[in-house]
Amino acid sequence: MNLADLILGRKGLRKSLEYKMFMTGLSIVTTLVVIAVLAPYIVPWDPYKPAAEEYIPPFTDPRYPLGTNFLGYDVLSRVIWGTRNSLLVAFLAVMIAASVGIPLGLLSGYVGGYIDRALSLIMDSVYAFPGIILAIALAFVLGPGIVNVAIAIAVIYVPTYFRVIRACTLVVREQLFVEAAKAMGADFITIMRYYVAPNVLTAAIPVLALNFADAILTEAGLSFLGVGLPPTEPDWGVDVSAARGDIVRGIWWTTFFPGIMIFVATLGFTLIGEGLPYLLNPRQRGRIR
Amino acid sequence: MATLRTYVIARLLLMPVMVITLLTLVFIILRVLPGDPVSVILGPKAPPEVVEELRKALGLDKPLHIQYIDYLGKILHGDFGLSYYWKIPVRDLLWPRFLATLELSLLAMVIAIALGVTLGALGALKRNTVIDVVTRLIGVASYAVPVFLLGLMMQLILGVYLGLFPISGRISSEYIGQFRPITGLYLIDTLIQGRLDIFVDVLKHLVMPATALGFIISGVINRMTRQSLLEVLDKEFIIAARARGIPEDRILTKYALRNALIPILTIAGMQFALLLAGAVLTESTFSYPGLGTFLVTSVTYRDYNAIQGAIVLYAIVVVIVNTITDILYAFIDPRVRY
Amino acid sequence: MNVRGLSKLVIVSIVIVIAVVAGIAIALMGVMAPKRMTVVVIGTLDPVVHLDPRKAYEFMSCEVLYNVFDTLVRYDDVRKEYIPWLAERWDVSPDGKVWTFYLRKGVKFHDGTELTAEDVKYTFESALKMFKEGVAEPAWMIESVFERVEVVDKYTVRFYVKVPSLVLPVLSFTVCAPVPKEAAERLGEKFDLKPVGTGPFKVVEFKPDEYLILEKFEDYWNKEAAAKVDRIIIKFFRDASALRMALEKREVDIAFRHLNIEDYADLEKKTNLVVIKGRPPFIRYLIINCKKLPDVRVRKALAYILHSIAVPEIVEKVFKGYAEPLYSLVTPCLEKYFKPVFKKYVLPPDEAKAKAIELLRAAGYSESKKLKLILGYSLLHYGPLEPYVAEVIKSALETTGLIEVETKGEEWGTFKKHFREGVFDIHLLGWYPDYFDPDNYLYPFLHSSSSGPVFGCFYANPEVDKLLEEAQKVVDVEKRAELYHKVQVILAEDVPIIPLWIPTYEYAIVFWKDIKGIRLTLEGILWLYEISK
Repeated sequence: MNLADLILGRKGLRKSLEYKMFMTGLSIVTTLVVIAVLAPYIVPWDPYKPAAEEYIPPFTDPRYPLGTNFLGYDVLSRVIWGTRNSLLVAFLAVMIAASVGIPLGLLSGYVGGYIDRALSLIMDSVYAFPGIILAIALAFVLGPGIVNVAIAIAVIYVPTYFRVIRACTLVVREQLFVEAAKAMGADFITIMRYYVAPNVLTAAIPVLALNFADAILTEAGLSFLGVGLPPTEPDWGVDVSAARGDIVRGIWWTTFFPGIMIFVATLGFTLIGEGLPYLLNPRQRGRIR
Repeated sequence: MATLRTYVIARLLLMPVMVITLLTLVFIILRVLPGDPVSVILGPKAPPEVVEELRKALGLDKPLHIQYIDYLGKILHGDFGLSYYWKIPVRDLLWPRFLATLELSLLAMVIAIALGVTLGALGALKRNTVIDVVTRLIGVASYAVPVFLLGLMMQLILGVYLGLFPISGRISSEYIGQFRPITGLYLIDTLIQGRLDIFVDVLKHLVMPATALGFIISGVINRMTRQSLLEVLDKEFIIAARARGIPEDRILTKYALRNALIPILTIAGMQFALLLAGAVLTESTFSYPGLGTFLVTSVTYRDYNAIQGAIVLYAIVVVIVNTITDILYAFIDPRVRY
Repeated sequence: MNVRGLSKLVIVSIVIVIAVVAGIAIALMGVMAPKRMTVVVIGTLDPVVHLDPRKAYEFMSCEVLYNVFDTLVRYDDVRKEYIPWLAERWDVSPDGKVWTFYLRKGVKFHDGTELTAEDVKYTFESALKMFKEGVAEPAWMIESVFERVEVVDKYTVRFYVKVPSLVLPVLSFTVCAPVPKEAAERLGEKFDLKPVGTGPFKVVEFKPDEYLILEKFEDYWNKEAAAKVDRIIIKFFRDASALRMALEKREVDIAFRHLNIEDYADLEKKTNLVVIKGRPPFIRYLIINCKKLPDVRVRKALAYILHSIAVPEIVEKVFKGYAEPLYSLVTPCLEKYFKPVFKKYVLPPDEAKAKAIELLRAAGYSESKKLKLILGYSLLHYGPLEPYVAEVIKSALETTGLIEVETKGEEWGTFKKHFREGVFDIHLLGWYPDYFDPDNYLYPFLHSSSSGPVFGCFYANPEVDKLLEEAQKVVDVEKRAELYHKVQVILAEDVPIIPLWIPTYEYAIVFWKDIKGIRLTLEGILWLYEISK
């Protein structure tokens, strides 16, 4: 099934819940990406500077539709700019994780032997470990900043790619066409590049989407705990954390809007990741995690 | 059974190896990467010779591989060193906090299982109806909602607006020091000492964090329940039962759920890592004095030994729980054996 | 019995168990309620780390220890002088180098033993020994002020001193509070968790990061300063919202250090609560790296902008009035010594800007050749608002059009290392005095021996060094005041440091109306024995 079939919902897909989930997710994510890219042109106020007096409630003043926070920053502008930061960190984290995890998975699965066992052991150990705790330790050592947080998060996901790719590689390397290539004297790189990799990479796509969801959540969590992005940076997690003291005064909008954006973004990627494996292979019901 | 026995033995042998791998990882993160514990311990007025002496006392002047061996040796003897900040053994700090986390996690797990099994069973029973869709969407939402958002909103509505539950902490100040922590699990301690007033107080403190955390975990259990029930419902004995005209809900409770329950519980056990990760954020949101808050506090104090101790404890717990659930799972599902 | 019957039985028994348990619970709640002592609960975010006075250096630890231990002398903030406390009286030799203290007789430690000169000697010597081991941080004060201690008789102790003017200020700090020799030696490390002092309160139980229980000491020597409540519980909170909630629900009677600033203003409106804003002896200031900015005209330009534009905005906008502009390094709490020398940099914003631009141009900067500054600050050490303070300073300086500021927020350990290495051009710091004396507000910052290595200021002026050293030798208050006034005038001329504001928000206290006797003293101590309910 090709991508066009998928998106247009051909072959009776349209009716399935998975299709609807996938499409909802896709539209959420597309919207967020557009917001993130256009952020500098669409923010009504500078998100790094106070825009008005503090605690203007939302939906009262059209100039500050989502209200202002404890220092008079415009919540909408912060939320828009936060989209940019959250997606950026998540994107970097997923890319770093994939570019480390996939080659290692290929290598481990194809070569086997001691390398495979050692790598599998390390990866399994990391995989078993609660991700955010490892990320806290790493973020603590690396210090705040977009790239540092991305690296800290990436480390958690390397094993995920490794495991998926390794499992697929184990199957593919037994295939006849690989045997044939080997017999024809193709070298290691060639076999990997032209015969193995293209056949295992599709398995990584749903993982990618789910990792994206997780990465957004983890970044928000780290920033909430104060080990993520620096405290003046517009970011959903940072903003929720900075405003959590407002709750007792009954001021809800300063935590709610950034918080709900984390939820929406995570939901978008989760829906894609949920729908995708079924759509790619309707008989498979499980989720690859 | 020979293969099962081999698997169990292999899995048990793997346990220390995994622990050591994780310990090494922690060592690499905390010791090899830059950062200076000494400057954290000593204040601005410490003379340089004191700095040097402390460096020696902490063994930071030795080559890395010696430091590594020292580190492993100490941890294997249960020595987590002295907290730089509190100046008391890290082990003494970790244990009560770990028990607090355990209490929260266990309650959260109960809530997660109750919620997850109910929703999952409902979904499977009413397959492809609106109810199925709703329960599945609740499941998806539980993956996506940040636990601190859920927690803050609960604090706002249930705590601030309605005043039903205390918004943070583990016990009200007025009860502090009024019972002896015997097991460290306050719910049990207060009960066996007959202090039901405190028991109720502790329970009230636990309701919101445990529910928030439980909801986050319930998604996985929800999905698993639905999936394994659907599998069971396709099995021959169910079809036979249906053919005999037994009502659908009785089939579900009497035949299907009973068959699916053990794997569901085992899978719930496998979510332990997820539970601990969620607990860090939950504890922080509710200022609950557990291992997670301790880790985060220690990060703000840059208390290296405390951070290291907390992470190592997490690692050991996770490896033990994973090994147990893996073995249990192997008993249930013969396919998992390698 | 079939399976179905079994599950029914299980359900029925569970219901019965729950009913019974609930019944007992309700019955017991009435009966079991324990006899009420007068207990006052204080909630705080500020951790108590040490209870051994020789080790305690954090604000809250010392705050508690002032009430668990007594010092030989004490500063009386009403009479504004040092008064006898554990020492009944003292003599000073004419050259100020030998001080003899006569201890009050019959003073009991919490374990029942009597305070003797031997204990005082032991306290000083063990503190010094621990300091050398790197575990008694504040004992540097003992080392720098005292030469040695000598026991004359059971109740008389003699100090040979290096810095006469600091004897009384340092003796009134917790590090010099006598510990009982026998108990301290016996308990060793454990003394830090369960200390034995002579104060009006004794420590019952301490759980780091959770709570600390203090109990009235019945045998306290000074009936006038005896505790008025049976127990004080200090409960440690992780976040300010939780503390506020606990206060409103009366889980705590007093909230001290720190609620969110917005909460203070909010709670002022409530009729059942009282909010007191103290004037703390703490100061906040900007250090200028004199190595990187040697031109005094540039430093003066910064002072104009900061005092005329940035500080008012920080005080009003960031701290919502819970701060006060500060015009000298010496705290105004030390009235005799304080001289508001930086007032001259306060102008209407436009004039200040013009003045700053003039000075910067004279120093050779222009629109095409801007002054580039790196502003360093600590991310969490001074509270979560620090980054916003840095942003205000940055935009204020940049209004001149001749300055470009890059802000750099760092974690405390890294920050400290960096400013000492002189990485930044300017950086934000704060100061909690070790002892309540002008020396502590000027000497460390401006004396060439510590200005660079400790603060990254790298200021060296032989005249200032001489004045500061001279003031340490003088005991007479008037003469010292004169010397310190001179130093402050030079400070405002050379501008190596710009004093910024007094953090009132760190010294505000909120409590229920029926709690009496709460007073925030000028030297920064909350006397718990004065509290009643």
